[in-house]
Amino acid sequence: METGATFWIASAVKVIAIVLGLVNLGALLLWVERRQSAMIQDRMGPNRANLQIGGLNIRAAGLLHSAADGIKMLWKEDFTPPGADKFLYHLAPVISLVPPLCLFAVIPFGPSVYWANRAQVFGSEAWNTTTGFIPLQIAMPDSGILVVFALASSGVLGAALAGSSSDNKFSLMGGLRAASQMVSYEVTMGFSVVGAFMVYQTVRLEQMVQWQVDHAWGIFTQPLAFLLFFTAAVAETKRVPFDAPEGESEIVAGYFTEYQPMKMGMFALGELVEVMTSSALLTTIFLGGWQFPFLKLDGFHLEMFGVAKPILMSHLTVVVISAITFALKVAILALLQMQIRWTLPRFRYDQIMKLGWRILLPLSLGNILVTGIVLLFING
Amino acid sequence: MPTLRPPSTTLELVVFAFFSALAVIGALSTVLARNPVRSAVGLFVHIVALAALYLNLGAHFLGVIQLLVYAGAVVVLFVFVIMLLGSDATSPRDSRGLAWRAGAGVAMVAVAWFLVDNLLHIKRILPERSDAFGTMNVIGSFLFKQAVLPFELIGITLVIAVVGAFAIARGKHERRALADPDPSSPDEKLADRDSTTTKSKGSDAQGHA
Repeated sequence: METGATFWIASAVKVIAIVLGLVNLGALLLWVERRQSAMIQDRMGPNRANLQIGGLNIRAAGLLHSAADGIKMLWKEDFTPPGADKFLYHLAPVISLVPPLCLFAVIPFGPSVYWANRAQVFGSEAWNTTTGFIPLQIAMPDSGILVVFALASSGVLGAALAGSSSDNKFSLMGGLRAASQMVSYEVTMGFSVVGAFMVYQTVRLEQMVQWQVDHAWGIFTQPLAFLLFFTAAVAETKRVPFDAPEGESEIVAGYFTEYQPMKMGMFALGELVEVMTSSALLTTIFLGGWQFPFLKLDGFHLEMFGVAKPILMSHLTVVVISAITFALKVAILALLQMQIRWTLPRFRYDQIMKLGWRILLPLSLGNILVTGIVLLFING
Repeated sequence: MPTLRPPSTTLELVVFAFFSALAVIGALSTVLARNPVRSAVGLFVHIVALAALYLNLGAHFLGVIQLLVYAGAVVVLFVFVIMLLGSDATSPRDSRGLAWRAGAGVAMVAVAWFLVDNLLHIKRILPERSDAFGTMNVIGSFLFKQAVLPFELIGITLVIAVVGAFAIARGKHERRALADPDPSSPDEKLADRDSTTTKSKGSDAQGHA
C-alpha cells in the first residue's frame, strides 16, 4: 500500500468524493423515485420547477425539483416543539444520517490502483502489482463487514431517539415500531451473510470481491442468502412495504412527525443513502463487486469455443471500467428497491414481525446449516 | 511491529485524549442525568468512545464487537424499554445522608488509588503485543482451541437465561388466560392446559431418571 503523503492525499480525495457523491446521489434518487412513481401510476410527475434564462424554459425532466426542495427546506421556519427534549431532538437526525454515510468507508468501489508505476498509464501491459498501490476503498479494517453491522446497528438509535424526544404520541409509536423492526431484521441480515463468510472464508469486503473474481459471484453460490439479505435490507431502510414506522395512513409520519424541513430532510436523505449503501453491500457481497465479467487486470480474456483472444487494455481503462461497473450495479439494485416501493402493498406491523422472526430468521439459520454441510462434503 | 507502549505518535495521543475525555463525559452523564433517555445516550457515547480507544490500541475486533453488541443492541434495547415504560419518568431524589456520601467518596478514592498504582506498573504485567494482535483469526482460534470450554459454557448459560426469560413471560400469559377463559373455545384451552401439564410431568420424570 502507498504510504506517506500519497496515502493522506488519496484518502482525503476518496473521503470527499464518497461523501459528496452519496449526498448528491441521494438528491438524484429522490428525483428517480418521483419520476418512477409517476411512470408507474401513469401521472405526469414532477414538472413545475423550471429555470427561466432569457426566453429559455429549462425543466430538465423534473430534476430541478430536488434543488427546489433543498432551497425550500433550508428557508422554512425551523420550529422545535415546546415539550421536546431539545438536546435529543436535535441529536436524532444526526445519528440517523451519519452511520449510513460512514459505513460506505469499508466498501471497495474499484480495483487497486498501482500508483507507484503510473508512468505506464497508457501502456497495455499489466502494471507491476508488487509495489505501492492505492486501494479504491477508504478503510480496509480486519473486521471488514462487521464494521458495517456495527455502524448500521447504531443507526437504529436515531429513529428511537426521534420518537422518544419529540413529545408526540405518533412519534413515540413510530419510534417503537422503528426500533423493534430494525433490531429484528438486523438479526436476519447478520445471519444471512454468515453463509457467505463460510464460502469466501473471509469477512473483509475486498477479499470477498477477490474471491468472486477468482471463482463465481455470490448470488450463484449463496442464492438464498442474497434474497434474505435483500429483504432484510429493504426492511432496514423502513421503506414501503416495510414502512410501519412511518405509516402515513396511521401515525402521520411516525418517528419524524415533529421534525421541520431540513431535519426531516436529514431523515429522508439518511433513508436514501441507506438505499444506496445497502445496494453497494449487496453488490459487493453477492454480485462480484466492481468486477466486469471476463475483465482481468490487463484487459478482456474471453475464451470461446477453445479460442482465447485477449483484448489488452491499459490499467487506467480497466480501473475506470470497473468503477463504472460498480456504480451501474449499485444503480440497478437501487432502482429495483425503488420499484419494489411502488409495486408491493404495505405490510401490517404484525406481518412484518412474523415475516422477520418466523420465516426469514429460520431460513437464514437453515442456510448456514446447509452451507456448512455442503462445504464439509466439498472439502472432504 | 509495535509492542505495548504508551501512545507515542501525536495522532495516537490526540485520539486517546479526545476519546478518553468523551468516555468520562459519557459515563458521568449516564450517572448524573435525571432523564433516563439521556442516561442511555450518555451510555451510548461512553461505549462509542471505549470502542474508539480499543481501536487505538490495535484491538480492532474487540472495538467493533463493542459497538455491535453494546451500542447496537444493549443501548437500543434500553431506549426501547424506556420508551415502553414512558420516558418522562425521572429517578427519585437521592435521600441518603452525608455519612453515605463521604463513605462513597473515600471508597472511590481508594479504588482510584489502586487502579492508578496498577496502571503505572502495567508494562511489567502485560505481554508484548504481536503482529496479529486483536485480529479475528487470532481471537477465533483462541476461542475455539484454548478457551473452547468456557466459551461453550457461556453459550449454554446465555441459552438458559433466554429460555428462563421466555418461561417467565409465558407463565404470566398462561395464568392470565386461565383467569379469563375465552368463552368461544373452552375445550381447546383445556386441551392446551392438559398437554402442557403432561409435558412438564414427562420432563420431570426424565430428570429424575
